Amino acid sequence: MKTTADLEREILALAPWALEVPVTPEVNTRIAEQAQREASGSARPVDIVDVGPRWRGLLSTLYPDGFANRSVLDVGCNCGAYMFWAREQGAGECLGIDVREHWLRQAEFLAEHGPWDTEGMRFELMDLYDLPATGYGPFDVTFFLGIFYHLPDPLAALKIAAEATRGILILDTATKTGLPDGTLYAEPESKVAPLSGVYGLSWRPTGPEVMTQIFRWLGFNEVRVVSNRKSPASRGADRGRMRIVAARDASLLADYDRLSASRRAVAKA
Amino acid sequence: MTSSSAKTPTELKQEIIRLGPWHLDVQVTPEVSSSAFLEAPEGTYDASAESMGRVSFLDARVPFQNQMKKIYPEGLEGRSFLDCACNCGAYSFWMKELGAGSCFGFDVRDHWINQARFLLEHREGPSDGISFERLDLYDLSKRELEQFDVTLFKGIFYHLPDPVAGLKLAADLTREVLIVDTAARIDLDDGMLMLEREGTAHPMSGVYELSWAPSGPRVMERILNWMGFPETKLVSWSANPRKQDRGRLRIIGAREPGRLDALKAVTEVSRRPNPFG
Repeated sequence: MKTTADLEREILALAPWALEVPVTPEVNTRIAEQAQREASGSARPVDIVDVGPRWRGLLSTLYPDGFANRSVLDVGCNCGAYMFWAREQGAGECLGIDVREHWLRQAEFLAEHGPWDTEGMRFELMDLYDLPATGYGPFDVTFFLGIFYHLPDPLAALKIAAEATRGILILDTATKTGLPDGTLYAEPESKVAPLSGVYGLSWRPTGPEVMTQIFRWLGFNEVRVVSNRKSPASRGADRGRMRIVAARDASLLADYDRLSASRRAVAKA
Repeated sequence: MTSSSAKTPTELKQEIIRLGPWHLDVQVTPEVSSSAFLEAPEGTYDASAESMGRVSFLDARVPFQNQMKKIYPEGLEGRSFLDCACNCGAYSFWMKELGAGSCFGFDVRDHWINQARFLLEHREGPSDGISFERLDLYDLSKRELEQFDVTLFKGIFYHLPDPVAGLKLAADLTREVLIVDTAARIDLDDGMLMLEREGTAHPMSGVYELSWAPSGPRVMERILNWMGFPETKLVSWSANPRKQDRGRLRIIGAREPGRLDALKAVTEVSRRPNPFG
Protein backbone atom coordinates (compact mmCIF):
# COMPACT_ATOMS: atom_id res chain seq x y z
CA MET A 1 0.00 0.00 0.00
CA LYS A 2 1.46 3.33 -1.03
CA THR A 3 1.26 6.38 1.14
CA THR A 4 -0.25 9.64 0.02
CA ALA A 5 3.26 11.04 -0.33
CA ASP A 6 4.28 8.08 -2.56
CA LEU A 7 1.28 8.57 -4.81
CA GLU A 8 1.86 12.30 -5.12
CA ARG A 9 5.47 11.69 -6.00
CA GLU A 10 4.38 9.33 -8.76
CA ILE A 11 1.78 11.77 -10.03
CA LEU A 12 4.48 14.42 -10.33
CA ALA A 13 6.76 11.98 -12.10
CA LEU A 14 4.01 11.20 -14.59
CA ALA A 15 3.22 14.87 -15.35
CA PRO A 16 2.05 16.65 -17.39
CA TRP A 17 -1.55 15.64 -16.74
CA ALA A 18 -4.47 16.89 -18.80
CA LEU A 19 -7.36 15.75 -16.62
CA GLU A 20 -8.21 16.25 -12.99
CA VAL A 21 -8.79 12.81 -11.51
CA PRO A 22 -9.38 11.94 -7.87
CA VAL A 23 -7.21 8.89 -7.17
CA THR A 24 -7.94 8.39 -3.47
CA PRO A 25 -9.97 10.61 -1.12
CA GLU A 26 -6.74 12.49 -0.37
CA VAL A 27 -4.90 12.41 -3.67
CA ASN A 28 -5.81 14.18 -6.92
CA THR A 29 -3.86 14.64 -10.15
CA ARG A 30 -4.53 18.37 -9.76
CA ILE A 31 -1.44 18.58 -7.54
CA ALA A 32 0.76 18.44 -10.64
CA GLU A 33 -0.56 21.72 -11.98
CA GLN A 34 1.99 24.06 -10.45
CA ALA A 35 4.91 21.82 -11.35
CA GLN A 36 3.90 21.25 -14.95
CA ARG A 37 3.25 24.93 -15.45
CA GLU A 38 6.77 25.73 -14.27
CA ALA A 39 8.29 22.88 -16.29
CA SER A 40 6.70 24.02 -19.55
CA GLY A 41 9.04 27.00 -19.81
CA SER A 42 8.01 29.23 -22.69
CA ALA A 43 5.77 26.58 -24.32
CA ARG A 44 2.06 26.63 -23.56
CA PRO A 45 1.57 24.47 -20.45
CA VAL A 46 -0.80 21.52 -20.46
CA ASP A 47 -3.84 22.68 -18.47
CA ILE A 48 -5.46 20.28 -16.04
CA VAL A 49 -9.19 20.45 -16.61
CA ASP A 50 -11.94 19.30 -14.30
CA VAL A 51 -14.21 17.46 -16.70
CA GLY A 52 -15.42 14.70 -14.38
CA PRO A 53 -18.70 16.14 -13.04
CA ARG A 54 -20.03 17.14 -16.47
CA TRP A 55 -18.94 13.86 -18.01
CA ARG A 56 -20.59 11.75 -15.33
CA GLY A 57 -23.72 13.86 -15.82
CA LEU A 58 -23.78 13.13 -19.55
CA LEU A 59 -23.28 9.41 -19.02
CA SER A 60 -26.11 9.22 -16.52
CA THR A 61 -28.36 11.07 -18.97
CA LEU A 62 -27.53 8.56 -21.71
CA TYR A 63 -27.87 5.55 -19.37
CA PRO A 64 -29.91 6.55 -16.30
CA ASP A 65 -30.02 2.91 -15.20
CA GLY A 66 -26.27 2.46 -15.66
CA PHE A 67 -24.21 0.97 -18.49
CA ALA A 68 -25.44 -2.54 -17.68
CA ASN A 69 -22.15 -4.06 -18.77
CA ARG A 70 -22.07 -2.30 -22.14
CA SER A 71 -18.63 -2.35 -23.74
CA VAL A 72 -16.68 0.85 -24.32
CA LEU A 73 -14.00 1.96 -26.77
CA ASP A 74 -12.12 5.15 -25.92
CA VAL A 75 -10.17 6.53 -28.87
CA GLY A 76 -7.35 8.80 -27.76
CA CYS A 77 -8.05 7.77 -24.17
CA ASN A 78 -5.47 10.01 -22.50
CA CYS A 79 -5.16 8.90 -18.85
CA GLY A 80 -8.27 6.73 -19.17
CA ALA A 81 -10.37 8.86 -16.82
CA TYR A 82 -13.40 8.94 -19.11
CA MET A 83 -13.44 5.16 -19.12
CA PHE A 84 -12.91 4.82 -15.39
CA TRP A 85 -15.92 7.08 -14.85
CA ALA A 86 -17.94 4.92 -17.26
CA ARG A 87 -16.84 1.89 -15.26
CA GLU A 88 -18.20 3.57 -12.12
CA GLN A 89 -21.56 3.53 -13.88
CA GLY A 90 -21.40 -0.12 -14.82
CA ALA A 91 -19.45 -0.31 -18.10
CA GLY A 92 -18.32 -3.81 -19.11
CA GLU A 93 -15.31 -4.55 -21.34
CA CYS A 94 -13.30 -1.38 -21.93
CA LEU A 95 -10.55 -0.72 -24.45
CA GLY A 96 -8.63 2.54 -24.36
CA ILE A 97 -6.16 3.37 -27.12
CA ASP A 98 -3.76 6.26 -27.47
CA VAL A 99 -0.76 6.99 -29.68
CA ARG A 100 1.26 8.44 -26.83
CA GLU A 101 2.83 6.19 -24.24
CA HIS A 102 2.92 9.13 -21.85
CA TRP A 103 -0.86 9.00 -21.37
CA LEU A 104 -1.00 5.23 -21.16
CA ARG A 105 1.47 5.26 -18.26
CA GLN A 106 -0.93 7.58 -16.44
CA ALA A 107 -3.81 5.20 -17.24
CA GLU A 108 -1.84 2.30 -15.79
CA PHE A 109 -1.09 4.31 -12.67
CA LEU A 110 -4.77 5.17 -12.21
CA ALA A 111 -5.82 1.59 -12.88
CA GLU A 112 -3.48 0.41 -10.18
CA HIS A 113 -4.14 3.03 -7.51
CA GLY A 114 -7.61 4.37 -8.24
CA PRO A 115 -10.82 3.06 -6.67
CA TRP A 116 -12.07 1.25 -9.77
CA ASP A 117 -12.47 -2.43 -10.44
CA THR A 118 -10.35 -2.74 -13.57
CA GLU A 119 -11.23 -6.32 -14.51
CA GLY A 120 -11.82 -6.34 -18.27
CA MET A 121 -10.27 -2.92 -18.84
CA ARG A 122 -7.37 -2.69 -21.26
CA PHE A 123 -5.18 0.13 -22.48
CA GLU A 124 -3.13 -0.23 -25.64
CA LEU A 125 -0.62 1.90 -27.46
CA MET A 126 -2.30 2.02 -30.85
CA ASP A 127 -3.05 4.36 -33.71
CA LEU A 128 -6.76 4.39 -34.50
CA TYR A 129 -5.90 3.80 -38.14
CA ASP A 130 -4.57 0.40 -37.05
CA LEU A 131 -7.68 -0.61 -35.10
CA PRO A 132 -9.48 -2.46 -37.94
CA ALA A 133 -6.51 -4.80 -38.35
CA THR A 134 -6.81 -5.93 -34.71
CA GLY A 135 -10.33 -7.28 -35.14
CA TYR A 136 -11.41 -5.72 -31.80
CA GLY A 137 -15.03 -4.77 -31.38
CA PRO A 138 -17.72 -3.88 -32.11
CA PHE A 139 -18.33 -1.83 -28.98
CA ASP A 140 -21.60 -0.60 -27.52
CA VAL A 141 -20.31 2.89 -26.81
CA THR A 142 -17.39 4.78 -28.31
CA PHE A 143 -15.73 7.89 -26.94
CA PHE A 144 -14.12 10.12 -29.54
CA LEU A 145 -13.00 12.92 -27.28
CA GLY A 146 -10.38 15.50 -28.08
CA ILE A 147 -9.06 13.67 -31.11
CA PHE A 148 -11.10 14.66 -34.19
CA TYR A 149 -9.09 17.88 -34.59
CA HIS A 150 -5.69 16.16 -34.25
CA LEU A 151 -6.01 13.98 -37.35
CA PRO A 152 -4.86 14.46 -40.94
CA ASP A 153 -7.96 12.68 -42.13
CA PRO A 154 -10.63 12.88 -39.43
CA LEU A 155 -13.34 11.49 -41.70
CA ALA A 156 -11.50 8.24 -42.28
CA ALA A 157 -10.76 8.03 -38.55
CA LEU A 158 -14.33 8.68 -37.48
CA LYS A 159 -15.46 6.10 -40.03
CA ILE A 160 -13.23 3.51 -38.40
CA ALA A 161 -14.64 4.40 -34.98
CA ALA A 162 -18.22 4.39 -36.28
CA GLU A 163 -17.79 0.99 -37.89
CA ALA A 164 -16.50 -0.32 -34.55
CA THR A 165 -19.59 1.04 -32.75
CA ARG A 166 -22.92 -0.73 -32.30
CA GLY A 167 -24.64 1.89 -30.18
CA ILE A 168 -23.70 5.42 -29.26
CA LEU A 169 -20.73 7.52 -30.27
CA ILE A 170 -19.79 10.52 -28.14
CA LEU A 171 -17.68 13.12 -29.90
CA ASP A 172 -16.02 16.12 -28.33
CA THR A 173 -13.96 18.39 -30.53
CA ALA A 174 -12.43 21.81 -30.82
CA THR A 175 -14.19 23.91 -33.43
CA LYS A 176 -13.28 26.76 -35.73
CA THR A 177 -15.54 29.70 -34.98
CA GLY A 178 -16.31 32.72 -37.13
CA LEU A 179 -16.95 30.82 -40.35
CA PRO A 180 -20.24 29.72 -41.87
CA ASP A 181 -20.99 26.20 -40.62
CA GLY A 182 -20.46 23.45 -43.14
CA THR A 183 -16.71 23.37 -43.50
CA LEU A 184 -13.64 21.62 -42.19
CA TYR A 185 -10.79 24.03 -41.65
CA ALA A 186 -7.27 22.75 -42.32
CA GLU A 187 -4.27 23.83 -40.29
CA PRO A 188 -0.81 22.59 -39.55
CA GLU A 189 -0.12 21.45 -35.99
CA SER A 190 2.86 20.35 -33.96
CA LYS A 191 3.80 16.69 -34.20
CA VAL A 192 5.52 16.62 -30.81
CA ALA A 193 3.55 18.67 -28.25
CA PRO A 194 1.96 16.21 -25.78
CA LEU A 195 -1.60 17.28 -26.56
CA SER A 196 -1.12 17.48 -30.32
CA GLY A 197 -1.60 14.87 -32.99
CA VAL A 198 1.32 13.13 -34.58
CA TYR A 199 0.70 13.93 -38.25
CA GLY A 200 1.29 17.65 -38.81
CA LEU A 201 -2.04 18.24 -40.54
CA SER A 202 -5.29 18.75 -38.68
CA TRP A 203 -8.86 19.91 -39.25
CA ARG A 204 -11.43 21.70 -37.14
CA PRO A 205 -15.17 21.55 -37.92
CA THR A 206 -17.09 24.82 -38.01
CA GLY A 207 -20.14 23.64 -36.10
CA PRO A 208 -22.96 21.11 -35.74
CA GLU A 209 -24.10 21.17 -39.37
CA VAL A 210 -20.89 19.80 -40.83
CA MET A 211 -20.66 17.13 -38.14
CA THR A 212 -24.30 16.13 -38.60
CA GLN A 213 -23.75 15.55 -42.30
CA ILE A 214 -20.63 13.52 -41.59
CA PHE A 215 -22.48 11.37 -39.04
CA ARG A 216 -25.31 10.77 -41.52
CA TRP A 217 -22.80 9.61 -44.10
CA LEU A 218 -21.58 7.12 -41.49
CA GLY A 219 -25.11 5.82 -40.91
CA PHE A 220 -25.51 7.65 -37.59
CA ASN A 221 -28.70 9.44 -38.52
CA GLU A 222 -29.56 10.50 -34.98
CA VAL A 223 -27.36 13.39 -33.87
CA ARG A 224 -27.77 15.46 -30.72
CA VAL A 225 -25.69 18.53 -29.94
CA VAL A 226 -24.94 18.39 -26.23
CA SER A 227 -23.05 21.67 -26.24
CA ASN A 228 -21.47 24.07 -28.70
CA ARG A 229 -19.79 27.19 -27.40
CA LYS A 230 -16.98 29.61 -27.95
CA SER A 231 -13.82 28.98 -25.96
CA PRO A 232 -12.32 31.68 -23.72
CA ALA A 233 -10.30 34.19 -25.73
CA SER A 234 -7.15 32.92 -24.01
CA ARG A 235 -7.45 29.74 -26.10
CA GLY A 236 -7.41 31.71 -29.36
CA ALA A 237 -9.95 34.05 -30.96
CA ASP A 238 -11.31 31.47 -33.38
CA ARG A 239 -11.74 28.46 -31.11
CA GLY A 240 -14.82 26.78 -29.74
CA ARG A 241 -15.76 23.43 -28.34
CA MET A 242 -18.59 21.13 -29.31
CA ARG A 243 -19.92 17.90 -27.87
CA ILE A 244 -22.22 15.61 -29.82
CA VAL A 245 -23.83 12.25 -29.20
CA ALA A 246 -24.82 10.21 -32.23
CA ALA A 247 -26.51 6.89 -32.83
CA ARG A 248 -27.76 4.78 -35.70
CA ASP A 249 -31.20 4.52 -34.13
CA ALA A 250 -33.26 7.05 -32.16
CA SER A 251 -34.33 4.43 -29.61
CA LEU A 252 -30.75 4.36 -28.34
CA LEU A 253 -31.06 8.02 -27.39
CA ALA A 254 -34.56 7.82 -25.89
CA ASP A 255 -33.39 8.35 -22.31
CA TYR A 256 -31.09 11.14 -23.35
CA ASP A 257 -33.89 12.89 -25.27
CA ARG A 258 -36.34 12.59 -22.38
CA LEU A 259 -33.90 13.64 -19.66
CA SER A 260 -32.21 16.46 -21.54
CA ALA A 261 -35.61 17.90 -22.48
CA SER A 262 -36.76 17.88 -18.86
CA ARG A 263 -33.45 19.39 -17.76
CA ARG A 264 -33.89 22.19 -20.25
CA ALA A 265 -37.42 22.76 -18.95
CA VAL A 266 -36.13 22.97 -15.37
CA ALA A 267 -33.39 25.36 -16.41
CA LYS A 268 -35.95 27.57 -18.15
CA ALA A 269 -38.25 27.65 -15.12
CA MET B 1 -6.06 -1.54 -84.01
CA THR B 2 -6.06 -4.76 -86.02
CA SER B 3 -7.39 -5.12 -89.51
CA SER B 4 -10.04 -7.63 -88.40
CA SER B 5 -11.65 -5.03 -86.17
CA ALA B 6 -11.23 -2.15 -88.62
CA LYS B 7 -14.47 -0.29 -89.09
CA THR B 8 -15.43 2.21 -91.72
CA PRO B 9 -15.72 5.86 -90.64
CA THR B 10 -19.50 5.52 -90.80
CA GLU B 11 -19.48 2.48 -88.56
CA LEU B 12 -17.18 4.24 -86.09
CA LYS B 13 -19.44 7.27 -85.98
CA GLN B 14 -22.47 5.09 -85.32
CA GLU B 15 -20.63 3.39 -82.51
CA ILE B 16 -19.51 6.75 -81.07
CA ILE B 17 -23.10 7.98 -81.11
CA ARG B 18 -24.28 4.79 -79.44
CA LEU B 19 -21.68 5.24 -76.67
CA GLY B 20 -22.44 8.96 -76.15
CA PRO B 21 -22.61 11.41 -74.65
CA TRP B 22 -18.85 12.01 -74.52
CA HIS B 23 -16.98 14.43 -72.28
CA LEU B 24 -13.61 14.56 -74.04
CA ASP B 25 -12.78 15.07 -77.67
CA VAL B 26 -10.49 12.24 -78.72
CA GLN B 27 -9.24 11.50 -82.19
CA VAL B 28 -10.09 7.92 -83.14
CA THR B 29 -8.77 7.96 -86.70
CA PRO B 30 -7.57 10.92 -88.79
CA GLU B 31 -11.15 11.36 -90.04
CA VAL B 32 -13.20 10.51 -86.96
CA SER B 33 -13.19 11.85 -83.41
CA SER B 34 -15.51 11.35 -80.46
CA SER B 35 -17.05 14.69 -81.44
CA ALA B 36 -19.08 12.66 -83.93
CA PHE B 37 -21.63 12.15 -81.15
CA LEU B 38 -22.53 15.84 -81.46
CA GLU B 39 -24.17 14.95 -84.78
CA ALA B 40 -26.52 12.49 -83.08
CA PRO B 41 -30.15 13.12 -84.00
CA GLU B 42 -32.18 15.21 -81.54
CA GLY B 43 -33.53 13.02 -78.73
CA THR B 44 -30.79 10.38 -78.93
CA TYR B 45 -29.75 11.11 -75.36
CA ASP B 46 -32.16 11.53 -72.50
CA ALA B 47 -31.11 14.91 -71.09
CA SER B 48 -33.23 14.68 -67.94
CA ALA B 49 -31.39 15.19 -64.68
CA GLU B 50 -32.29 11.63 -63.64
CA SER B 51 -30.44 10.09 -66.53
CA MET B 52 -27.69 11.67 -68.55
CA GLY B 53 -28.37 15.35 -68.05
CA ARG B 54 -25.96 17.71 -69.71
CA VAL B 55 -22.36 16.66 -70.18
CA SER B 56 -19.80 19.30 -71.13
CA PHE B 57 -17.60 18.46 -74.09
CA LEU B 58 -14.07 19.70 -74.40
CA ASP B 59 -10.78 19.35 -76.18
CA ALA B 60 -8.03 19.18 -73.55
CA ARG B 61 -5.23 17.39 -75.38
CA VAL B 62 -2.87 20.19 -76.34
CA PRO B 63 -2.76 22.05 -73.00
CA PHE B 64 -2.38 18.74 -71.14
CA GLN B 65 0.47 17.53 -73.33
CA ASN B 66 2.22 20.91 -73.20
CA GLN B 67 2.09 20.77 -69.43
CA MET B 68 3.52 17.26 -69.34
CA LYS B 69 6.33 18.29 -71.66
CA LYS B 70 7.31 21.00 -69.18
CA ILE B 71 7.46 18.48 -66.35
CA TYR B 72 9.26 15.88 -68.49
CA PRO B 73 11.18 17.76 -71.20
CA GLU B 74 12.97 14.59 -72.30
CA GLY B 75 9.65 12.81 -72.81
CA LEU B 76 8.06 10.30 -70.48
CA GLU B 77 10.70 7.63 -71.22
CA GLY B 78 8.44 4.74 -70.38
CA ARG B 79 7.03 6.17 -67.15
CA SER B 80 3.82 4.54 -65.96
CA PHE B 81 0.58 6.45 -65.59
CA LEU B 82 -2.46 6.08 -63.34
CA ASP B 83 -5.66 7.90 -64.27
CA CYS B 84 -8.24 8.04 -61.46
CA ALA B 85 -11.78 8.56 -62.70
CA CYS B 86 -10.45 8.22 -66.21
CA ASN B 87 -13.65 9.00 -68.07
CA CYS B 88 -13.13 7.79 -71.66
CA GLY B 89 -9.45 7.18 -70.99
CA ALA B 90 -8.24 10.01 -73.20
CA TYR B 91 -5.34 11.00 -70.97
CA SER B 92 -3.79 7.53 -71.16
CA PHE B 93 -3.67 7.78 -74.96
CA TRP B 94 -2.22 11.29 -74.76
CA MET B 95 0.40 10.14 -72.24
CA LYS B 96 1.25 7.24 -74.52
CA GLU B 97 1.89 9.69 -77.36
CA LEU B 98 4.50 11.34 -75.11
CA GLY B 99 6.30 8.07 -74.42
CA ALA B 100 4.52 6.68 -71.38
CA GLY B 101 4.90 2.99 -70.52
CA SER B 102 1.99 1.15 -68.96
CA CYS B 103 -1.17 3.16 -68.33
CA PHE B 104 -4.06 2.17 -66.11
CA GLY B 105 -7.33 4.08 -66.01
CA PHE B 106 -10.33 3.33 -63.84
CA ASP B 107 -13.76 4.83 -63.42
CA VAL B 108 -16.73 3.96 -61.25
CA ARG B 109 -19.15 4.26 -64.20
CA ASP B 110 -19.53 1.65 -66.93
CA HIS B 111 -20.61 4.38 -69.33
CA TRP B 112 -17.09 5.82 -69.43
CA ILE B 113 -15.27 2.51 -69.32
CA ASN B 114 -17.26 1.38 -72.35
CA GLN B 115 -16.00 4.45 -74.21
CA ALA B 116 -12.43 3.82 -73.04
CA ARG B 117 -12.54 0.24 -74.28
CA PHE B 118 -13.97 1.37 -77.61
CA LEU B 119 -11.04 3.75 -77.99
CA LEU B 120 -8.59 1.07 -76.99
CA GLU B 121 -9.94 -1.17 -79.74
CA HIS B 122 -10.38 1.34 -82.54
CA ARG B 123 -8.10 4.29 -81.93
CA GLU B 124 -5.12 4.64 -84.26
CA GLY B 125 -1.84 5.22 -82.47
CA PRO B 126 0.18 3.51 -79.74
CA SER B 127 -1.90 1.65 -77.18
CA ASP B 128 0.29 -1.17 -75.87
CA GLY B 129 0.19 -1.49 -72.08
CA ILE B 130 -2.98 0.57 -71.70
CA SER B 131 -5.81 -0.97 -69.69
CA PHE B 132 -9.10 0.23 -68.25
CA GLU B 133 -11.33 -1.09 -65.53
CA ARG B 134 -14.58 -0.27 -63.82
CA LEU B 135 -13.46 0.32 -60.25
CA ASP B 136 -14.39 2.35 -57.21
CA LEU B 137 -11.49 4.45 -55.94
CA TYR B 138 -11.99 3.08 -52.44
CA ASP B 139 -11.35 -0.43 -53.81
CA LEU B 140 -8.07 0.63 -55.42
CA SER B 141 -5.92 -0.73 -52.60
CA LYS B 142 -7.51 -4.18 -53.00
CA ARG B 143 -6.00 -4.41 -56.48
CA GLU B 144 -2.46 -4.49 -55.04
CA LEU B 145 -1.08 -2.44 -57.91
CA GLU B 146 2.55 -1.47 -58.33
CA GLN B 147 3.33 2.22 -57.94
CA PHE B 148 2.89 4.53 -60.92
CA ASP B 149 5.25 7.35 -61.85
CA VAL B 150 2.56 9.89 -62.70
CA THR B 151 -1.00 10.04 -61.42
CA LEU B 152 -3.90 12.14 -62.65
CA PHE B 153 -6.65 12.82 -60.12
CA LYS B 154 -8.98 14.93 -62.20
CA GLY B 155 -12.65 15.54 -61.64
CA ILE B 156 -12.97 13.21 -58.68
CA PHE B 157 -11.78 14.98 -55.51
CA TYR B 158 -15.06 16.90 -55.17
CA HIS B 159 -17.21 13.81 -55.69
CA LEU B 160 -15.96 11.92 -52.64
CA PRO B 161 -17.41 11.62 -49.14
CA ASP B 162 -13.89 11.53 -47.75
CA PRO B 163 -11.63 13.20 -50.31
CA VAL B 164 -8.53 13.19 -48.14
CA ALA B 165 -8.65 9.41 -47.72
CA GLY B 166 -9.47 9.09 -51.42
CA LEU B 167 -6.58 11.21 -52.61
CA LYS B 168 -4.29 9.41 -50.14
CA LEU B 169 -5.00 6.11 -51.90
CA ALA B 170 -3.81 7.62 -55.17
CA ALA B 171 -0.91 9.48 -53.56
CA ASP B 172 0.44 6.31 -51.97
CA LEU B 173 0.48 4.74 -55.44
CA THR B 174 2.42 7.64 -56.94
CA ARG B 175 6.20 7.71 -57.29
CA GLU B 176 6.89 11.12 -58.84
CA VAL B 177 4.11 13.49 -59.84
CA LEU B 178 0.48 13.81 -58.75
CA ILE B 179 -1.84 16.10 -60.71
CA VAL B 180 -4.99 17.13 -58.87
CA ASP B 181 -7.66 18.93 -60.85
CA THR B 182 -10.79 19.78 -58.91
CA ALA B 183 -13.83 21.99 -58.68
CA ALA B 184 -13.37 24.58 -55.95
CA ARG B 185 -15.28 27.28 -54.12
CA ILE B 186 -13.96 30.73 -54.91
CA ASP B 187 -16.21 32.73 -52.56
CA LEU B 188 -14.72 31.56 -49.24
CA ASP B 189 -11.47 32.03 -47.36
CA ASP B 190 -8.90 29.52 -48.45
CA GLY B 191 -7.90 26.66 -46.20
CA MET B 192 -11.16 24.74 -45.97
CA LEU B 193 -13.17 21.89 -47.33
CA MET B 194 -16.78 22.98 -47.79
CA LEU B 195 -19.56 20.48 -47.34
CA GLU B 196 -21.73 19.85 -50.36
CA ARG B 197 -24.33 17.27 -51.18
CA GLU B 198 -24.75 16.03 -54.69
CA GLY B 199 -27.16 13.87 -56.60
CA THR B 200 -25.83 10.51 -57.66
CA ALA B 201 -27.66 9.86 -60.92
CA HIS B 202 -25.88 12.21 -63.29
CA PRO B 203 -22.98 10.52 -65.10
CA MET B 204 -20.63 13.35 -64.15
CA SER B 205 -21.53 13.11 -60.47
CA GLY B 206 -20.15 10.98 -57.67
CA VAL B 207 -21.93 8.02 -56.17
CA TYR B 208 -21.86 8.89 -52.45
CA GLU B 209 -24.07 12.03 -51.99
CA LEU B 210 -21.74 13.56 -49.42
CA SER B 211 -19.04 15.58 -51.12
CA TRP B 212 -16.65 18.42 -50.41
CA ALA B 213 -15.17 21.33 -52.33
CA PRO B 214 -11.82 22.88 -51.43
CA SER B 215 -11.99 26.63 -50.87
CA GLY B 216 -8.73 27.33 -52.65
CA PRO B 217 -5.25 26.07 -53.43
CA ARG B 218 -3.82 26.42 -49.92
CA VAL B 219 -5.93 23.66 -48.45
CA MET B 220 -4.90 21.40 -51.34
CA GLU B 221 -1.26 22.31 -50.83
CA ARG B 222 -1.48 21.34 -47.15
CA ILE B 223 -3.05 18.03 -48.05
CA LEU B 224 -0.40 17.29 -50.70
CA ASN B 225 2.44 18.28 -48.37
CA TRP B 226 1.14 15.92 -45.73
CA MET B 227 0.94 13.13 -48.32
CA GLY B 228 4.63 13.45 -49.07
CA PHE B 229 4.65 15.95 -51.94
CA PRO B 230 6.69 18.85 -50.53
CA GLU B 231 6.84 20.53 -53.93
CA THR B 232 3.53 21.86 -55.26
CA LYS B 233 2.56 24.25 -57.99
CA LEU B 234 -0.82 25.81 -58.70
CA VAL B 235 -1.03 25.84 -62.49
CA SER B 236 -4.62 26.98 -63.02
CA TRP B 237 -7.33 28.57 -60.92
CA SER B 238 -10.35 29.85 -62.73
CA ALA B 239 -13.87 31.09 -62.10
CA ASN B 240 -16.85 29.20 -63.42
CA PRO B 241 -18.62 31.59 -65.81
CA ARG B 242 -22.01 30.07 -65.00
CA LYS B 243 -21.82 29.79 -61.19
CA GLN B 244 -20.34 32.74 -59.37
CA ASP B 245 -19.31 30.90 -56.21
CA ARG B 246 -17.50 28.11 -58.04
CA GLY B 247 -14.36 27.61 -60.00
CA ARG B 248 -11.75 25.05 -60.78
CA LEU B 249 -8.12 24.58 -59.89
CA ARG B 250 -5.25 22.37 -60.91
CA ILE B 251 -2.40 21.84 -58.48
CA ILE B 252 0.50 19.54 -59.15
CA GLY B 253 2.55 17.86 -56.45
CA ALA B 254 6.02 16.35 -56.85
CA ARG B 255 8.04 14.20 -54.50
CA GLU B 256 11.38 15.61 -55.65
CA PRO B 257 12.37 19.29 -55.62
CA GLY B 258 12.85 21.01 -58.97
CA ARG B 259 10.59 18.71 -60.94
CA LEU B 260 7.97 21.42 -61.43
CA ASP B 261 10.30 24.38 -61.98
CA ALA B 262 9.41 24.87 -65.63
CA LEU B 263 5.70 25.27 -64.86
CA LYS B 264 4.36 28.75 -64.43
CA ALA B 265 2.58 29.33 -61.12
CA VAL B 266 -0.80 31.01 -60.93
CA THR B 267 -1.53 33.25 -57.96
CA GLU B 268 -5.10 34.42 -58.38
CA VAL B 269 -8.46 33.40 -59.77
CA SER B 270 -8.69 33.99 -63.51
CA ARG B 271 -11.88 34.99 -65.29
CA ARG B 272 -10.57 33.57 -68.55
CA PRO B 273 -11.73 30.14 -69.69
CA ASN B 274 -9.94 27.27 -68.00
CA PRO B 275 -7.54 25.76 -70.56
CA PHE B 276 -7.70 22.31 -68.97
CA GLY B 277 -11.47 21.94 -68.95
